[in-house]
Amino acid sequence: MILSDTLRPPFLIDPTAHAYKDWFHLNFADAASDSIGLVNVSLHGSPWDDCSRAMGTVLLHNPESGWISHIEILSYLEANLGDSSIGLRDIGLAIEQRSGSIHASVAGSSSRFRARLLAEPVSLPLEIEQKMPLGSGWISWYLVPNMKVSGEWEIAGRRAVCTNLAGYHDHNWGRWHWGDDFGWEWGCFLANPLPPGNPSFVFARTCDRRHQRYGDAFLLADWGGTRKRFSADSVAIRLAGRFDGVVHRVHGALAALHQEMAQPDLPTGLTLVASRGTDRIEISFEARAAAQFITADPVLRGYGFIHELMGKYSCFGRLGGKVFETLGYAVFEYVV
Amino acid sequence: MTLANYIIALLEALRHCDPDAYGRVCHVVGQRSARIQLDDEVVIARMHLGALQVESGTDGGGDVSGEGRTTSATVLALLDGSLEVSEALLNDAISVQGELEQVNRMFQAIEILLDASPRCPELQALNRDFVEQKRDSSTAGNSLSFGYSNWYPFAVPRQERHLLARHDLLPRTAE
Repeated sequence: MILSDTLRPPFLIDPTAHAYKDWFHLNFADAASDSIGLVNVSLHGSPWDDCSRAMGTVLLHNPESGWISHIEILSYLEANLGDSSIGLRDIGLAIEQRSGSIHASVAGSSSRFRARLLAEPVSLPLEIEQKMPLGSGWISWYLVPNMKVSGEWEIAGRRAVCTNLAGYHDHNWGRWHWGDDFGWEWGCFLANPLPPGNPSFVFARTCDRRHQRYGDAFLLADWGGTRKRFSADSVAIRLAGRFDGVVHRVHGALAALHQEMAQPDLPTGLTLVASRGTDRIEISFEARAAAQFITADPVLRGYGFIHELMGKYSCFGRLGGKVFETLGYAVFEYVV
Repeated sequence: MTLANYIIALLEALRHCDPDAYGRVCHVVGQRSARIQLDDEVVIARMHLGALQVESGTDGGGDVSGEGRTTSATVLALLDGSLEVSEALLNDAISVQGELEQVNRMFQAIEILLDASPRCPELQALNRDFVEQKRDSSTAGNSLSFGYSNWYPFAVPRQERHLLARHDLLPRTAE
């Protein structure tokens, strides 16, 4: 039973309420259409400020259609907010508290991607309640590393019923302002759903905006009943290359404003090696496409640039005494 | 909403939400005027003593400091991220004319407006109204697609092309 995957709005007397941020996030990947995507619904700013905004973001990439994106921004009053749901006009995401299942919906007559998805937990959640420093504020984290996603969607006019997609869910909340001196690197390496029983991995570390001073790295490996968490001193990360493809940028008004970020300095790959005792993991990731989601703070002038690098990974190693080798889809997030 | 009404509403929203930003627009624009064309609508916009005046530009409207012309389809493509400003300029989907100083000031005014919009709900509402109106209109179907420019707009010597390539300044091709 999952009881704590709910929005965490500030109390009325919270002096930091203006910096409130909260989001639900779902990643998914489909081998049949070679698609990788995400649905994110988020809250930015105090519940008592008319400038605060609820935002829905949908990104999907496959080699045939390229990038498809949909951004929706409403006031809190216009949005439909529940304890564990954020509903906008076209984009919505709700979490069933008893089962931990997630219902995600993407609509809109002009959208090239429409979907109704159900994500069911395959692995147990991990909650990191403590407030990790982030810029001038903090961030907390709740994640489910492995989810089974099914539903139906339409991509660029092509409808499909999907079953057994790889999935990942997280929920972040905290207090910070976009534009503060912070960044992060985060990656989810989705469990290959065919055949079932493959491991999944989640990696994260915070840093300054220039990615020169890093916080402690975090790596979680989840493989059936085996869950291993690697501490910072047992994880080595190497970012490789420079992504030289066209970066898809949304939303467009902020992309027009930030021409200096049209060709950001992004890695094209990542290798990650972790070892602790007899456990060892080696992950190689190669990005095939990159998108830049520009976030603007509704309270103070400031911008964050969340880069979603999507591609495939391969991994081998030994966990709990068992040797494994796997490959699948991954999303690597590079935030400045 | 007509183009004239839309421009007036944008500046009014800015003045209400962010008077400082509005003041910066007034400062940047000064006494200049611009001919602005969106699809078949043409207006002349000018600032006078801190107040925006917009009139029909179909009759010519006399001398202006600069001119900008684009289409609703281009604006929609820019807003949904399928077109970058640089590509729009290279493809002539946005045409801007005037002396460098005047063009620079036009873009500065637009940047101030864009920069204020995340903190100004009224500007966001206007953006949403514009998108809904134009997507519904027959003149700006959202099916228009723009490719990334793979050409340079004028002939350049080989040495210059090599220099631009070395500094990653040539227009890039799509994946």
